[in-house]
Amino acid sequence: MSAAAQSPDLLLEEHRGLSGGRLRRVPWLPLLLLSPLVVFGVFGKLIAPYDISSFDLGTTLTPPVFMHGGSWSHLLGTDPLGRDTLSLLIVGARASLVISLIGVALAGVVGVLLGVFSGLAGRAADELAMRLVDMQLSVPPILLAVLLAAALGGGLRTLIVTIAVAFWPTYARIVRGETLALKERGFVQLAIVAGASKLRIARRHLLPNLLSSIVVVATLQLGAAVGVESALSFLGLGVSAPNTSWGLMIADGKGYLDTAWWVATFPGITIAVTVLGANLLGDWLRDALDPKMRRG
Amino acid sequence: MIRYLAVRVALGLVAILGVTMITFIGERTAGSPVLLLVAPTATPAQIQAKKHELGFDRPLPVQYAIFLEHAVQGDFGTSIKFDVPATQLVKERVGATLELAGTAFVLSLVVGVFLGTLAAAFRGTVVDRAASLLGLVGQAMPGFWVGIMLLLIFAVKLRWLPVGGRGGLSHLVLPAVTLSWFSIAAFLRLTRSAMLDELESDYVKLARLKGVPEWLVVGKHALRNTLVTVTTYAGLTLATLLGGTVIVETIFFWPGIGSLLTSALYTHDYPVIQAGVVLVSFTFVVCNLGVDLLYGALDPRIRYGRAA
Repeated sequence: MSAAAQSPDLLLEEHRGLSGGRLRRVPWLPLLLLSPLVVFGVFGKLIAPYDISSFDLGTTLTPPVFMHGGSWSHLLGTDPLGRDTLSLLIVGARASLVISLIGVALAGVVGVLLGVFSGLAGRAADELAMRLVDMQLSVPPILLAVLLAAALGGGLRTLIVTIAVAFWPTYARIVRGETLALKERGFVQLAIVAGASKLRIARRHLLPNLLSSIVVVATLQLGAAVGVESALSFLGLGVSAPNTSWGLMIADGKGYLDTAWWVATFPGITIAVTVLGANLLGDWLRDALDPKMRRG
Repeated sequence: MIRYLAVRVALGLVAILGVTMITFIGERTAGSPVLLLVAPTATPAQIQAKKHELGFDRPLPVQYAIFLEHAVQGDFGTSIKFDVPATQLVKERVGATLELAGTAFVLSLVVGVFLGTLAAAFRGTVVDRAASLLGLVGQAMPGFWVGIMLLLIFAVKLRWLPVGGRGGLSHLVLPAVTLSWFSIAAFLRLTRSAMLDELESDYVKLARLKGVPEWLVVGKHALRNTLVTVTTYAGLTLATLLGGTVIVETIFFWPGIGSLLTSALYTHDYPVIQAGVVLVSFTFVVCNLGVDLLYGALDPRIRYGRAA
């Protein structure tokens, strides 16, 4: 399609980025659901009522406050080592927040770069990049994550890399598709005719328009990343003692389901709330930023 | 079509190669199995000799080539922990994993499609809202945690079902429900939206005008086309299920490939990891290819090879 064939309105079409009146209404429910992750993750030890590295054998196995024998000093009870469950939850949020945020961001950088490259650099490059995506998608993601975590030897950095590796294809696919569509649009065609370099087109014309899709994907993936982090830590391939994370708490709690069910239960609820919040926020952003975008 | 197939198969093989490479690098960098194979009192010279015997002192690419040469002949080496061929260990466990994954697949498909259809048919009512909420919340819960909660309720507190292991139907219930949990929610949401699209279409309107009873319109006319959409998702579901077995089998001590893999990871038993991983990836690639072909057969509008 040539630029001349387009009507003047299309040529003057404004960039659709995050600005504009689309974010007028505030999605209170998703934000509320995400608040434990953010608030606990940011403040961590500062707001935890107890120090989780000190064991108090006098208060082991205290049930949550709403149960018989529970006490107000330990709202969500204590584990067999006398550690306060709420404090563990608060401190453990740090790992989930840091790992999923950085992991998803890293995946985003790689995926967006490859996606734009794929859409702009011509057929051969496109073919190559998309085959790379196909290839990675022919391995079950959890299996890949488990293998990477095992190969790289656990720990915070490994988890971040694992999430980045597992999550970049989604960005790449969506960004590539949108790039191909944007390329045909008036303002990009005009820029090409005007002789702008590919780098400039990508930076000035494509990225601002891709931003809303990227934000939606990132939000949805944030939830998934929290899930992956907890699953790997649960398997003993992620965060390990003396640090703690929600997944690790569930793994610990599994060992004493019959005496202290609350240790495994509360972190799971917290994860579910967080993932639900991220999913709802992603859905909301998708509707708010671009009504045309559909679930992939 | 043949070109499309060839490309897909080639990609799958390259992906499996990539996986073996990651595993291989992990094997040579993370924990050296040599130290497990020699006596704790071994001198550095003895360790060196053992390394030489196993070929660990040669350049990595050479080691990998040797590994590949054996692997394509079905020889992944001997399990460090059990001292039997790794392939044999994997073979013994395949049945259990198939039983679990197969049950979970059927369960998620039947329950998910049923609930999704119900939600679409009663759009906007309490039934729809309840089903949609279930789908939304169900997808947010981490699968392994659902498993532990089921364990807590049905095995620890109520003592209705066994805590783990493989046996009769009672042993299968909790792991199968856990494994299918996420996929049920996913199928539910997918079926609902696909079904709603179908119910808007002209052929449905025509059927209604002709006086076909509503349950038949939904249950036969619309459902048949909805299933085409659902089928494509089946490939992704297999990914979730096969990957999920790793975690679910570990929780419930289910003696399949998944629990074999995790225990091998803990003990750095790399021959077993390689054999298991190759089998799982291979199954996954084959299933995905099958789903793609099936999709083409179900919906004549889709033609592979032409138009990207």
